[in-house]
Amino acid sequence: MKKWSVALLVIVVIGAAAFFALRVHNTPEGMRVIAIANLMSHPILDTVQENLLAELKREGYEDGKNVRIILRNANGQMQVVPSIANELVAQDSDIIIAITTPMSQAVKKVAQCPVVFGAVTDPVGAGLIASLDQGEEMITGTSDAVPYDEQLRLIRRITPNVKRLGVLFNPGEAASQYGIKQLRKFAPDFGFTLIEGPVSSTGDVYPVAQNLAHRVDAILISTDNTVAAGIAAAVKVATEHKVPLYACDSGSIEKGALAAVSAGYAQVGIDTGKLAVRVLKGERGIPSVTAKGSEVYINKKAAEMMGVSVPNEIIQNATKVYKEIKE
Amino acid sequence: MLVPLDIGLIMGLLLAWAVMALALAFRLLDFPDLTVEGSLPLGAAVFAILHKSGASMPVAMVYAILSGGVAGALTGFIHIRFKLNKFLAGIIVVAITYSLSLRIMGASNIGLLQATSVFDFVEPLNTAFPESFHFGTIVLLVAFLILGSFLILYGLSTRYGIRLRVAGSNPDYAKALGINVPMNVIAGLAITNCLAAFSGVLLSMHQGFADISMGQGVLILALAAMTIGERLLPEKHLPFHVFVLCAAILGSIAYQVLVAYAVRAGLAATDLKLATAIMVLLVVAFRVSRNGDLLAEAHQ
Repeated sequence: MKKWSVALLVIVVIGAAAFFALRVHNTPEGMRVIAIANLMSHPILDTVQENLLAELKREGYEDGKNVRIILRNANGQMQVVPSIANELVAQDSDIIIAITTPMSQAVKKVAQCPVVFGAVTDPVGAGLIASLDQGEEMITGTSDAVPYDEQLRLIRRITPNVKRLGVLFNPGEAASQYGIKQLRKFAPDFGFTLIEGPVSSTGDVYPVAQNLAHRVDAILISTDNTVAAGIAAAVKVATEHKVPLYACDSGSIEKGALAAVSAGYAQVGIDTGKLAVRVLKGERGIPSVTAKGSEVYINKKAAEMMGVSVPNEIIQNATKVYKEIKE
Repeated sequence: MLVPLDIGLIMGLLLAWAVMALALAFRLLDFPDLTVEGSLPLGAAVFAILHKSGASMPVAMVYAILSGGVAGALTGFIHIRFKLNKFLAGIIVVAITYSLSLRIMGASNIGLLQATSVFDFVEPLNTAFPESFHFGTIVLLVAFLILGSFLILYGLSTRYGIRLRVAGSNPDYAKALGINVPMNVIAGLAITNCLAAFSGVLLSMHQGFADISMGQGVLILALAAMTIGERLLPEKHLPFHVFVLCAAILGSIAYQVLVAYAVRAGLAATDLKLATAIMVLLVVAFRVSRNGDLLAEAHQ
């Protein structure tokens, strides 16, 4: 009985190991290797990766046909990040595409081939490149920095009377750290007084939003994974207190925030793919690309519930108008 | 097929310090110390910001290591002074170090790609060997570990070290002998968390950045590594403290090599954790079946 169960366990484990071992395949002669490293599986990052792969395919780079595409995902485990970076370098990749800030830093540290980073908010601050305008020999990529000035302009246009603007963000995220600095810089230009509402977990969103709602005329969510995960709580507070709730990504608008100017993560993925293709064709010294942020998202239902009337002109020019709130 | 071995060996040697920190506190002080999860990123944060703002590398390293020690001492102090549960004391300090690290860094991520690191000195050795084998890095990390282990083992064999071990293994007896148990616990945790902070410093140098979320998952990783190490190493021939230390190092390397092979196999994001869990189970199961006491306990 004892020995059986142990033997069974061992057999299962060896079977699983064999299954995984069989999936290791070597690159056929003459095929180029495109390696893609992602930090975690997450709606925004998945969008970037999907669109990146789609763009590569459109340009004729298809896994198994003429190139080998290696996908690696750290599953959110920071300790695996350097392992993946080293592993991809050891696979003799012709190009490594790294998604997110930590992944790009780890890859740049060890890479011997050209690197294209994707969805890095502040590539200069992260030490990846020296300046946004000048191209570098071995590295280029896309920034998903939200155009916060455009965002504030949109708030001003929809709700002209807002003076005190509350910001919900998690200071532990690089994107939000960048966002809050940008907001502090631009807020006076548009006549806003910023009131900061830092949260450290999704569970904080409700109480902090409640606290803000009493003190501000409108609330803005920066590009923040923590707050985005707790968006429902913020929407609840905003509709209760009739406070307009703005966001910086389309996903939050779909779920009940009022309006956003978005970096458009699909576009970030496509741009990253385009850069990768140019690098694969031998081009070097390409300057990095920053997301344009021309996409405006509106939720009509949310506007109604928060007691805001959105000017027709904005609705007509919006990239997408949602009529329902997705639960 | 040797590339994952190289990667795993390096990661194992880097994280061995954190595993040692957990194992020493757990086995010698009987203190399940959660602080490791906070002192590792704190060390990295202090090192990154000091080094980035102009302090020389050794100075930044010393301050970073000491910062970990302060976090550890704080955990011990909270546990003893306020009679707080060991886990809760650790959790509180992890929360404090999180905010503190963020404050210190002023951002959640600091790039160290252009900064000097200890690995620069051994770069010629790395390039002398085939590119997939980082001989210099491994030699340097092994040298660090040998030096560190020697110091720790020497420290534990002095009068102070023996007091510390007695205070940890049998507090009542230690009290009867006139040993100041609280002071020994605080000092012990300060030392183990210095090790964890050193792990953070080495990691940030090796990977080229310090990030606020570096510590997440370290605790589980260290526990798994410690378990593997203790199962792999024969206990009988070594004094207990030597066994704990060696098991931590061996376990850390074994665990990271397993992870590196899992990454090489190209596991999907969803499978990676399961695969590493299964592999830990495999090692543990083999050892238990050898001892034949797996179900002896279960049948009681």
